[in-house]
Amino acid sequence: MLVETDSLSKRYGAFVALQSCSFSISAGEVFGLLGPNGAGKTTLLRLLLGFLRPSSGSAQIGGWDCQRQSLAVRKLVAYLPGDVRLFRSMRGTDVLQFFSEVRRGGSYGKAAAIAEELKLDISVRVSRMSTGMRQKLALAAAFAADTPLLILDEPTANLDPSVRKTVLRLVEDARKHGRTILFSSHVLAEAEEVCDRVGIMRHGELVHMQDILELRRGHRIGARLTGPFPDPPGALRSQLALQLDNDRLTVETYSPLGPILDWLAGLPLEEIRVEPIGLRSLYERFHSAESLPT
Amino acid sequence: MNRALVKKSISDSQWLFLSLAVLLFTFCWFRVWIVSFLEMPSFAAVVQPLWEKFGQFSPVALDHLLSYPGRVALTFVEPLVFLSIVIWGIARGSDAVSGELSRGTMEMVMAQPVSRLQVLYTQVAITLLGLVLLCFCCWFGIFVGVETTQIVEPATRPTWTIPGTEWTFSLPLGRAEPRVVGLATKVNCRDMIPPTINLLCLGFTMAGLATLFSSWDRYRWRSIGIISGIFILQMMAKIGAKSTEALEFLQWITFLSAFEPQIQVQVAVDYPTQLWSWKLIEVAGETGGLGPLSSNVILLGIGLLSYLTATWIFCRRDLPAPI
Repeated sequence: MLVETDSLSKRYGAFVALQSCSFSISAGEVFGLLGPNGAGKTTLLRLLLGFLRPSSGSAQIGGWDCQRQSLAVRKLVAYLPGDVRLFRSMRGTDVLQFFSEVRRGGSYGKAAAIAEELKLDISVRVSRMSTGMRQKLALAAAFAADTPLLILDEPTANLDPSVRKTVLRLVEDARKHGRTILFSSHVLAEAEEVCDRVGIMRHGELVHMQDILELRRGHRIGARLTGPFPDPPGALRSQLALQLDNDRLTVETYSPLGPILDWLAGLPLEEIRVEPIGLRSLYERFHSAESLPT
Repeated sequence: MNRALVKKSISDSQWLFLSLAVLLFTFCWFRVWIVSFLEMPSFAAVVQPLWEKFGQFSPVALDHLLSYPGRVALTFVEPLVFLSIVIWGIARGSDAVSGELSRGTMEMVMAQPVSRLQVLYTQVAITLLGLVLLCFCCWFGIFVGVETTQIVEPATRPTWTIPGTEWTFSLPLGRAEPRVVGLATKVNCRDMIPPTINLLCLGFTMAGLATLFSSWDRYRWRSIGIISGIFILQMMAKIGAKSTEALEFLQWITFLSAFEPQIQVQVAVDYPTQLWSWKLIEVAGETGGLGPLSSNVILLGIGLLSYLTATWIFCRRDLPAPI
């Protein structure tokens, strides 16, 4: 495992920012952290980078303790913060130069090429850059670093749709080169597109882990019941999650649809609707519609 | 030390440094040049009537104050000079941690493979290098001033010494004429090195204290406010201690008691054997008092302790996200 946390917690007085978070990410995986603002995503990322001292528990990256061996950890990690602040007196070129020099093996040429790919004019002074431009500049610096792990905190925030696509492609490229990516996002569609696994956070707790491949196999079948509902046959029972609300029947399954549809065909049902479960509906299980990101 | 961090630290401080360097050099030169405008008898005529009431505020004896080295030494206690050094110390010290946190750039720096010690001490090294250069600018301004300024000595009659004896007579028939001489004949610039070092030590203390408050805060304006408040209180304590005997105890609670560049010049000129002593044996007929070495060690000690405490705090604290 490249990243491993064990009961990691962070408290500020009575306020619990992160509660007993345990998870692991294997090398080469793209892992997404999902959750509304204040769910603890950024706190978790900052604990991994050694910016914060855990109240309890521990975290390791590449076998190094994130708190006690933070320097060794940061040699393995490139980081994009959620709120990008760069050196305002510098030009974009100076910023990329700084990040390529500060890290052994950094490459200014690679960073400049990524900036060009993101359609960023790096001759502009940072103080004159918009939020989106600064985000692109920080992305160029993060992706250019030759590290096994990339931690991206909301990498596509503040970016227009075409640049978002480029960023997702950069994530894909990084994965192809064997890099591991841990990113937090508010955009469920993006997470579903690029992640191998996602973790859903709520009130500082990691409440659910989901394999995206498995999620893609999942379907939800909705129908109106017009007669008595018999128990499903024994072979199917363990593969189905059934919910009966008056005459509305909802069936969720991650198993092949054929045998289930055969069984449903014999039932008194109308208005049958079959849809993939998707990350959105999974997310809705843990977070109310009000906090649902777009 | 990381080259990129050094470059960044120089880039962060270059404009403040350049402006203070130019200011200190030109002001010190100008201040020494001003000495030539007021002949010594005229200066004495201004100072002597005030001495009875305000003499207690002078750290040196009247005789020394009415000498050219004494007058040049006043440059070091000009508010513009010592405040420039204090401003450098506070500005750079406060920027070390809370400055980066306020701007939100600490996160990007600390995400790189550099230790907290490296980040802090690169900034400290550039601050101290700047401090040394600023103090040199101050001394160099005085040096240029002393070397280029000419003074007019009061008219005196020519004298004649009997050969082979030490008997000198004023010639009554000779014409009394004022004499123009270089200030360098009256002031040895090497005597201005100890007060320059004392000024450097003051800057070190202020930079250390500012770094200490910066290391536990997240807002630079608050760090600056706290350290400025402390400096003002210390100034008030020093002035209070000199104002009246009842408040003399205040001299023991202000580190500014150790900043006495005028005394250091007086010791260098009149008591050179005590120049690097811990305790003054005799100055102006009085015994006791802190020696130049003690003063500097006190200031350096406070600065060093502040830096060590700042390091301890910074290496253990949480780094909050930008607001």
